[in-house]
Amino acid sequence: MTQMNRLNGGLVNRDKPLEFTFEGRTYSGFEGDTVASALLANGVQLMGRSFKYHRPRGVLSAGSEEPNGLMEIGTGADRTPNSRATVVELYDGLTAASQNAWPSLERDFMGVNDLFANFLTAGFYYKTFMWPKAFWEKIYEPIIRNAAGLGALSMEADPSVYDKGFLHCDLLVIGAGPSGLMAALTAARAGAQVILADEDFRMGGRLNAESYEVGGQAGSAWAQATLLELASLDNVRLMSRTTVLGAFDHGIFSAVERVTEHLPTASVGAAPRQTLWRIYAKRSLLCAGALERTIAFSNNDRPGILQAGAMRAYAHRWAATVGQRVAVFTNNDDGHRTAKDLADKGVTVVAVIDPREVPPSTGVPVIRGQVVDTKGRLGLKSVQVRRHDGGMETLKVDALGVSGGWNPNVSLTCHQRGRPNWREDIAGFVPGDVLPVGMAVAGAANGDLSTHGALSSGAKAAVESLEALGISSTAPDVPDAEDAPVNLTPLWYVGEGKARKWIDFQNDVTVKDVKLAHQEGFESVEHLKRYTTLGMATDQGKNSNLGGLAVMAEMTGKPVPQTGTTIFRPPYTPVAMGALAGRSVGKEFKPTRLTPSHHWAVRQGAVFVEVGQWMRAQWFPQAGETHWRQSVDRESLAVRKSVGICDVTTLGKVDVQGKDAAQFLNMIYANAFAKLPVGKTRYGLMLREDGIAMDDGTAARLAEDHFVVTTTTANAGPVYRHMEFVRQGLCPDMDVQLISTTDAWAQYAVAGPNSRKLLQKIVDPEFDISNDAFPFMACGEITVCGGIRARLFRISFSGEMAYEIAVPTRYGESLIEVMMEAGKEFDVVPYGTETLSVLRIEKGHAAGNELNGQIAAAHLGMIRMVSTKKDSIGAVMTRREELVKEDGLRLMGFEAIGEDILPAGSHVFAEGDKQTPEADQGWLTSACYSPHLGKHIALGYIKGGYERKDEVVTIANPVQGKTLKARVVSAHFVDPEGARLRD
Amino acid sequence: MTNYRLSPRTAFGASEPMRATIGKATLTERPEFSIASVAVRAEQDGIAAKLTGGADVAVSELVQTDTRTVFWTGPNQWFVLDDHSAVEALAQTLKADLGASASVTEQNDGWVVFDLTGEDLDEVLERLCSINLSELARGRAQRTVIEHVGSFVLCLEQGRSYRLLCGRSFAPSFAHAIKEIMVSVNAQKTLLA
Repeated sequence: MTQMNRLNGGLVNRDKPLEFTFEGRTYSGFEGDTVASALLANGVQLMGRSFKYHRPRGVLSAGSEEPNGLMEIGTGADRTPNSRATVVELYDGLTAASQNAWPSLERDFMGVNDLFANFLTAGFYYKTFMWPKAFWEKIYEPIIRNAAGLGALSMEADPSVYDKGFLHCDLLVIGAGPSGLMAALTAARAGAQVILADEDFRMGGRLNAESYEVGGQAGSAWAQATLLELASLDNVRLMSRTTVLGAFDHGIFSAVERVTEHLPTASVGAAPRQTLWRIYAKRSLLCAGALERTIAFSNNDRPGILQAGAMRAYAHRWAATVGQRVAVFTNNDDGHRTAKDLADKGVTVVAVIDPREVPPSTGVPVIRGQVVDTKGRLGLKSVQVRRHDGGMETLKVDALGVSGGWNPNVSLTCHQRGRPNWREDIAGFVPGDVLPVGMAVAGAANGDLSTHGALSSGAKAAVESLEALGISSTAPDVPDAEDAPVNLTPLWYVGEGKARKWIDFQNDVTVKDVKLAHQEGFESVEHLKRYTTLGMATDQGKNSNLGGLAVMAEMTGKPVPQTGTTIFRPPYTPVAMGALAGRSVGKEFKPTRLTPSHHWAVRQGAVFVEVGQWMRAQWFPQAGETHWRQSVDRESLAVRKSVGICDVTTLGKVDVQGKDAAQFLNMIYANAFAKLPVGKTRYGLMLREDGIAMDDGTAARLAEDHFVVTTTTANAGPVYRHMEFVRQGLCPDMDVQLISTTDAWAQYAVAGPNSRKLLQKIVDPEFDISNDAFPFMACGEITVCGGIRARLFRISFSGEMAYEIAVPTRYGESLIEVMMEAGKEFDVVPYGTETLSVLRIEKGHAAGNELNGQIAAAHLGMIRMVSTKKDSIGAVMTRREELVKEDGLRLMGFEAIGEDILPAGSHVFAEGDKQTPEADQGWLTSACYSPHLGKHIALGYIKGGYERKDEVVTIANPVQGKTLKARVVSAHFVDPEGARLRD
Repeated sequence: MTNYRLSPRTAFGASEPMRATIGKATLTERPEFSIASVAVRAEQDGIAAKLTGGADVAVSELVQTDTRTVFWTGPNQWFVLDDHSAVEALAQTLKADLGASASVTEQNDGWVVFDLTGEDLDEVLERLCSINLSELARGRAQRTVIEHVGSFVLCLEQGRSYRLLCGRSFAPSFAHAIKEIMVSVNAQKTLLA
């Protein structure tokens, strides 16, 4: 198809023709085109259907604020809905399709909605679909969502790669139009670190879209020359295709860079589609320009009706005209420029319609009047003009440019609740008095709407921003440029005409809808937005907020600024979810920590479980085992019978050194540590300041001034943080130093009656680990396997004679291989976290399930451990009356009566009591099948614990619909005297 | 004497260090360093100078000697990297040198050292961490977070040579994240060159 509406000139590369499809038809364009410009060049005006009424629509703009030209780009999983045709760069083979239309864009059956417009006014669904209530979620809402809408997701995983990163600069310049370029140039020449970001793929802003000269050359040529200088400087980072999405606290901005979106997907490979940047800017300068607003009149939404400035941009930058016979409807001088520029380009400009009394100055006829209606179902065919003298005139045109004035683009100034100020001379909002920290605004975004104004204010603002950083700079000479004043008489909508007058094209909101909202009491701007949906969806009201506000102002009789102000929130334009996720996919969202025996355990076929960030072996299935219980029962029995090995490296290890190390431990643990002899280990209970148990573990004294504290796996980080807080905040005078060594040592529990025999085979013979030389709770630094340094602790979580042995982690994998080999004669087994849990439940040791943030020392039966002879964190508070009362909760054991599992989390009730919160007696914390006892057991809390021993209680689990019986017993199911530990 | 012997493995469970070259960037695991942390005890000073043989090591700085790299890790706290010959003895040697003036902790296997070398490495690092790279010149050491992993970044030569440290158990995830970025950066450079 020929490009019938392609003009001469422009900034497209005619040496690089491209082919693309839209709605299944093939078109041609050039490198430098957008999908919108290429379609317009091909004479295609109809590009989409509207959100609610499925009205035929063409593009309204030439930028990212586009509300109408929304398309699905790409196919299959690569398909991106809601892409704005005005900013999608053309590439060879691009596939574009309209959305919200069926069966085709030209014949959309849902266009029937338009016939029922009188029933579908603002808020219609709030009024219509109220009964029956149950219908809303399953019937009404799906129907509405199906009928009204934007693009559809592919429902496939996004195959693109995304990335993220962090940037720093002295000055972030947002927008590379005339003000942004001058600002960047000023700062760059002063040696500041500058980032110049622009959402467009071609920097220069309106300089690329106008006929004006800057410094005696075409504006676009001046922009290119300036960019060349900026690109040659090491202290400047030019970021085109980069949208600054949000202004956050402390000068932090988010920006998305569309890295490869302008390339055919197949050619991209591993390169990211988009990169999300976090930019730390000492100062920022918003040079985001201004957005042209339209005027509402009857049927002002036909394809071919668009912003006059956009019409000019298509002609100058993309060498495309929207139509062959055009007219311009304007209330300000800028609209006349469009008419002149198009006429100069050879387009037939029928007339400029201007309600003001303006003499012809451009050679194009001027009609004093207003456009009151239009015709043309799928594209504009004519406009009706009511002349000032009362006469009516019909103009046969296929395109109409509309200019209602320009709105400074204040969006980012509002991201931290800044409210813009009203400026009467331009009838628009300019940035308010409170801006994000470090931000200044220049150029059209600040209301300086001439090219000269933009250039000079950009330079001036850069100098001031740098001055605040102590960087002296000189503004470059401002090149000659147009400096026309803004001459404008506000006109928000045309009163005449009965057809709908569209304010918000994206959400199909009309002047009448706004008036209805007022009539029904929704006068607040925020209410107006939510009642009519004005300002929602992808353009976020960039085109419509002020228009809606102005109509509401008229209804309330108040001036616009007293009616309300616009507010904008991040993101500035829509962002792909993938960009927010960054490069992480699948399991990459959090790091995984591997134990020293991980690779060995993988080779053994272990089943793993995530414990925090750690991957731990949960059990080690053997041949013939088909259920986890078989594996766990076998492992548990093997440990109690002979010996088993478990990787316990994940337990936190904190190295505590210093002259006051013992005194420090006395402070963080409830029990006494000062007199713990060197070479001994002690169990410690750590309390929070409120007396609730925080963690438990052991501390081994390796020297007078050196301890190793162990924590539970889950609490390794929090306990270390707590200890640092105590050291720095509560005990700054103590001479104590802390550092984590969790990863430095590979540590294994070797448990069972044959544990010593096994270890004796690998411990170097000069170290005596007999019961006499190395009794229960001993610790020491030894060597194993011919001189490898190791630490040995005689501690037990299982209740058996047991040790924990640690070697430098690089030897960890080798150590378990050696121990498994050495233990063959004892039928040694590796065991995982499930067996670890079974063994500790059988022994009655508390763990994370028991320390749930509600439990004090007395509840654990450890109140006597809380020393009264020293001060320690939580010691006083844990003795509060409520926490120590005799009939309070106590940790006890529970034996199932019958064969049923005792579900952890079940609540305990006295037999015969109603199962109400008031009658609640406690709950089960941990439960397992004990292969040693041959029954289901549990640990749990019950009021009046010891006094209720042997009582049969009701175990209620309403979640599982179960009610069981259990007997209250000692928490120590195995070896309550502790004889095995000390063998 | 026991007949059993232990063999060292890298953080990746291998006998040889991990090494990956993608484009012009190379990530190399350096298991041969011995590492110890040193923290000053009360009312002591001049510890850093003793570690380097003269030079102080101020906040966010590193000092390299013939065999050692000493870098600041926190108030009154440094890490010492030494060559492989000291791996079994570094902590003990330092303790002997410093006596009761400092607390010394062996960190040989607590941390994994990676060298990131090549060209235009800022393009990799700026996607890894939030450090202001223009201020991370030779001789600077910065604690940071890389893909949720606490780590150190040491600059040996700006843009061309960095030393990264992370906790040993994190090493496979850490290296994976870096390699992913190396792939991404290389793909971009190749595609958009």
